[in-house]
Amino acid sequence: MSSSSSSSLPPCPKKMITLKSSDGETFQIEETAALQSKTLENMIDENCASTPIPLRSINGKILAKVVEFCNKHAEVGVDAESLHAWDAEFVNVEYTTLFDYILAANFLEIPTLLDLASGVVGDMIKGKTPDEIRKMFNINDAFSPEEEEEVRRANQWAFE
Amino acid sequence: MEDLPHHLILDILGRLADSADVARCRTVSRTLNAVSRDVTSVTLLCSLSRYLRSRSSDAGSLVAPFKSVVASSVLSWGSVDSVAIGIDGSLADSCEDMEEDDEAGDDMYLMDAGFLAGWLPRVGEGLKSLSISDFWVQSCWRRSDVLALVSSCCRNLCELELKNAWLSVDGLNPLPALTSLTLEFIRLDDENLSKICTCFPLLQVLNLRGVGGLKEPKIHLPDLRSCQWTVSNVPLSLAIYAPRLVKLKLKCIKPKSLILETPALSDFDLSIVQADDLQVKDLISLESLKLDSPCLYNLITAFRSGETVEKLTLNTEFNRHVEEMISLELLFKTFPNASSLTIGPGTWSRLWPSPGSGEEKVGMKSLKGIVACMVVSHIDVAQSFIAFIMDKCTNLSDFTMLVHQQHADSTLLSNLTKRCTADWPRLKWKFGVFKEATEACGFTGGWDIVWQRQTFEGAR
Repeated sequence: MSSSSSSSLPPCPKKMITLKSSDGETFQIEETAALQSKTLENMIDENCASTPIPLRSINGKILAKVVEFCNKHAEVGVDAESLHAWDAEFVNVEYTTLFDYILAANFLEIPTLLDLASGVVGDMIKGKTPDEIRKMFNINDAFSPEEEEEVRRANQWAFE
Repeated sequence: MEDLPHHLILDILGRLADSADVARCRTVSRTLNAVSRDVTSVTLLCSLSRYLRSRSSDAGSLVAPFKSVVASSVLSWGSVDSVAIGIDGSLADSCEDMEEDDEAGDDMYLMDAGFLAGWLPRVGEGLKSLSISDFWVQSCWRRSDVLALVSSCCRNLCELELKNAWLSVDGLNPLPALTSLTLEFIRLDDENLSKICTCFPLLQVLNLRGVGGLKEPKIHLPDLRSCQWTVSNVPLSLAIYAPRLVKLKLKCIKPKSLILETPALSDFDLSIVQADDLQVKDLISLESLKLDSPCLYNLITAFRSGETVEKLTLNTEFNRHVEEMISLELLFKTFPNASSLTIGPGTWSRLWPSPGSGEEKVGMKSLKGIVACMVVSHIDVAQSFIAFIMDKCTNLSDFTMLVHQQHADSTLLSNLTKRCTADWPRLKWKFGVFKEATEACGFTGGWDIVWQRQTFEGAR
């Protein structure tokens, strides 16, 4: 992805680190891009990043996207507007994938990704009825009708 | 969603700007209900459509009055440490179109002490932050005792923000825990700020934007660190005595006198038309200075604390007919150690190379970066001016050049790019486009960057 901009620059050795997903896929990421993750930064600082880093809670499909996100946000010379548009496209996914992003961003401590994905979930909730929210996120631990009636009565002001 | 750890769900719920959304989430599921109990802030804003619905005779009975919603939500919330209530942008913008009937009501008079007394004392002890943004139409013609009430029942309050109202300081008690106070579009019925300063002695942040009813305001706060003050043309003298003040943004018109005793000030943003008597005690810590004035020349010559300034920004109104010019030599002499210089469009058109500069070489050796909003009449003139700057500022490494939006697609920008990168390949160039600031700033030469991009041709 960054090959076009780097081709004009003199070749300099880029430090790469390797990440290994829960399903055994490996991904190469430049150290500078990986530093957006506090978790990876700590491992780099403690010299634990010379061998592939196993990430047992993140599968290959999600890890590929997280690496793509970090690469994009480490690119030099991207203006805020186009990055914003890129971000919007990045989170235009199923809610289950959004939750996976949130979990991965939480585990790897990538605040920009956590903000982005949690913000989108928040936007999805805005102005919705409880039924719509349940359907949207396929939520199953609903109250019994009696309990729901009670909670609803206590929060009646929010339904007026 | 139930599978997410609670702190992540809490993070999502905490992003909901309207507390009604949080309350609705409580009824969605057991998990959301449990997590939402840890949301400790209540935010409720009334929109124009809600206001109109609550007033319409047909639907009126269906929409609960906003004030009763506020009271019942806060009281049903559980643990609350932050409350923000007010009107949203749509209702604030429509204030001008309101009629007598709207004015006479008090359904949206949020700083009504009687209304606040119904719920504030119940949550007051635990409250850290309180923000009330009132409906000007109903609040402007009567004096509110909200300050007395808040200071008697919110003893642990750290942040207070009040907007759009007429306040009395009668009965105000000291609130030593308060560290941040914001008053915006407030008529303060006291004519001076002394009682505010006395009762909130440990304020670290003070924002006064459009606070009327002040005659000769003096800010006297020993712990103040950050202050934003926008003053109308009424007060004749302004004074700030704040030994620990680090950041000051002051916007005023034509005070007869302006006194600043702020020796720790390092970040100063001053917007002023003119002051007859400018008494600024030496600002020995000043690092970042932004000056915005039609009389920029007078201000620079009157300014004695330029030695320490590293980051300098100059704005002035853009006017082709103004005679007053500013020589670069004056800038270099006044701010000999600046490393970053930002020049607004009005300033660019008033800068000129000093005559006889060949003999006495006054340069700005420390200057590393320039951001300039250029007003280009002729590209050759611009280029020779840039050449003059390059000659004087031998350590310059970054140059961002912005042209007006109207030239965005013309050949001007591409020609400038070609010429500059060819003539000075050593520099890191950025080119872009600016536009006048959208904010109504009256006399200022405010501007925003629309876009900018780096060129790689010149990179080493």
